[in-house]
Amino acid sequence: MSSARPTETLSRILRSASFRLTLFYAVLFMASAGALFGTVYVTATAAMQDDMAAVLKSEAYQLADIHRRSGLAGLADQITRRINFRTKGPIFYLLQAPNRRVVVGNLPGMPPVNGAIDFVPQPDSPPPEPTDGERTKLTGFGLTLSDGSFLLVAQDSTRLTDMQHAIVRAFAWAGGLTLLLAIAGGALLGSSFLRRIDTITKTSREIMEGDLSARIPTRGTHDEIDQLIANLNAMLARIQQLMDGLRQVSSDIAHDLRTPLGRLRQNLEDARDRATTTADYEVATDAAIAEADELLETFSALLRIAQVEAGAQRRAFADLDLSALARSIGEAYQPSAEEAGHTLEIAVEDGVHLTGDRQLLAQMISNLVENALRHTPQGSTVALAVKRAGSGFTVEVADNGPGIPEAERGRVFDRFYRLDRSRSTAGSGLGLALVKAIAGLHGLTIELTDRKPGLGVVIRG
Amino acid sequence: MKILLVEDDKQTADYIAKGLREHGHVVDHADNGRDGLYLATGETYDVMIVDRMLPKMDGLSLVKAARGSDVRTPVLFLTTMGGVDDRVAGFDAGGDDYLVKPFAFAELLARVGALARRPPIVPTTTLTVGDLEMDLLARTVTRAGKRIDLLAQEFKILEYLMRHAGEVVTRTMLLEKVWDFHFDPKTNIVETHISRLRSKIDKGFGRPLLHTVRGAGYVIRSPD
Repeated sequence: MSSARPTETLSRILRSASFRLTLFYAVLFMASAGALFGTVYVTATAAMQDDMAAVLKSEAYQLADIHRRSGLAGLADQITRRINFRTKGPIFYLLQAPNRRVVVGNLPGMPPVNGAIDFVPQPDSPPPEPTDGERTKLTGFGLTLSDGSFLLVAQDSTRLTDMQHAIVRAFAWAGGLTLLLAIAGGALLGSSFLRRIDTITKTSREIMEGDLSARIPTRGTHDEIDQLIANLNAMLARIQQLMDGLRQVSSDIAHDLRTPLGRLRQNLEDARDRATTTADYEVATDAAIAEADELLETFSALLRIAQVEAGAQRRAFADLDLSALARSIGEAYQPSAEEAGHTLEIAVEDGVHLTGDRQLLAQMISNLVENALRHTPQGSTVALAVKRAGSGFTVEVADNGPGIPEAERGRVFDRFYRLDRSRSTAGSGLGLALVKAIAGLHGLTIELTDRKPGLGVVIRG
Repeated sequence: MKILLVEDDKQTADYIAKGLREHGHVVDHADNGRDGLYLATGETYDVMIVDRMLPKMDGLSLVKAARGSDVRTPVLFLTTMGGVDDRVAGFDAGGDDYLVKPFAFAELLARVGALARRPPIVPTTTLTVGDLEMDLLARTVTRAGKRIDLLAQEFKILEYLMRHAGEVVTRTMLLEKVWDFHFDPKTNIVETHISRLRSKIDKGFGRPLLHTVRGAGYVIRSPD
């Protein structure tokens, strides 16, 4: 939210999931960098120490060789030359006579030690070379020669510590920078994530306040959040559609029930004003009962559609023989069809089975047959056919009546929708809506075809 | 007949009780489920009429409990819940018939009559009403010795009527028993089938057996 105070924004970022994730990775990275640092530090130090020790040892043995060949004086001579020659990367020497008198060298005298030695020259002696004020730590190799004199070759170990410092510095810089980048990146990621979440929150609030048409904007990046938003938007569209449908239904109910209620009232008024004999009253009450029944029928049809659409009726699902069901329905309607001057043809292939609710499927087929019988003129033929089609089947109810204009075909399955020319015939306008709901519950598709002339309703499963 | 009525809506209960008494039945009324169960297990009735939604104990639980206490009285459920699932639940609980509110009184009366005189368990192979005879094994019908050809559905209608000879059978009962339709078709399919059946079994024979009871249904009865 742009209106939030900076501290609040910061605390929200710190609490955000993406930031915490970033932080976690930063810590993980730092830990692995630490491990890497340790390894490098230890390995490099050891390698360098080995290297230095090898150089000193070989120097010491070289000098011992000279001593063997040229004696103490020759060795002293050689050492002096080496001291003078080596100005850079110096090696320090000490040659002590057996009586511990320093023969030659640039190190103070010390008690003889054989082998590798790390030491700091004694404080009372001058530093071997001017350094930055600190006492230099040396690493050396001592050798007692054949005549009892002591030879020490040493090297400044600052090289080692310098290298160690360089490693520490390099890792400190790299680590610090990484941490900084991770935190900055996390904050950036967190705030951008939060901005998008805020958009969703804002839109959902708008919708809660009544603006059902509000939609969450997407970025077009097709990332996970975009996909989530697209799904939310699709869900909102569906909800809006359902709400609109509901609104439509309530106003349809209000409209369509006014007519029969009006007629009911009119009948009762008529009876009160004009009826004089018991027979008159009987006629009037019969008419009133018929109107009331029609109203009740409309209500139960609406209820049934609602139940079916809610998918609440699957409990009664079982495997059933659709062929037998269709045939029995056809035979049930045949006499009334003939009486009304229609021909009802039944062409049912055997062996079509499906899993479903027998009652609802019976009502679906009955509604289609009744619908065809009611909306076609005398002398028309209505054909009920069940066919196997591939792995599925079709149920078709076709007639050779006037058909349905192309433009109205999409709407005949709506509740209370009636073609203008059928307004005068009986019917609630709910029959096909129920057919559609039942087909939907069973996963069947429904299609209107033009039979030229006539209408065919094909249900496929 | 002694009937137990368990119904909490006073107006409906009065209407039903009054109607049943007018037809010569004795009616006990309970306005909640617990009292209903008390009566059902304590007294002996020919039929129980039980509303589904009741205070203190709902109709399904009442009937389940009564069946648990070995009460075998036939039960007719009354309900505003007319979904297929509700009907299934009603039969599962031990109900024998199911009537969705609102209903015509004649319908209730016919169903109560049918429940009280349930067909005997002993299987019969022939049904007889007057000089009309039905052989259930050979699936043939004769009247006064003359063979009558019936279509399958006509046979089923006649069989149901003859099994309930002397009782009023409503249009809805026929829809349910013959076609297993638990909805009301807008077309007069029952009427046309009955009129065809009538023309086959009554036309040309002295006195008619199949009668229409206005506002209620049909009855087949021996003329004597």
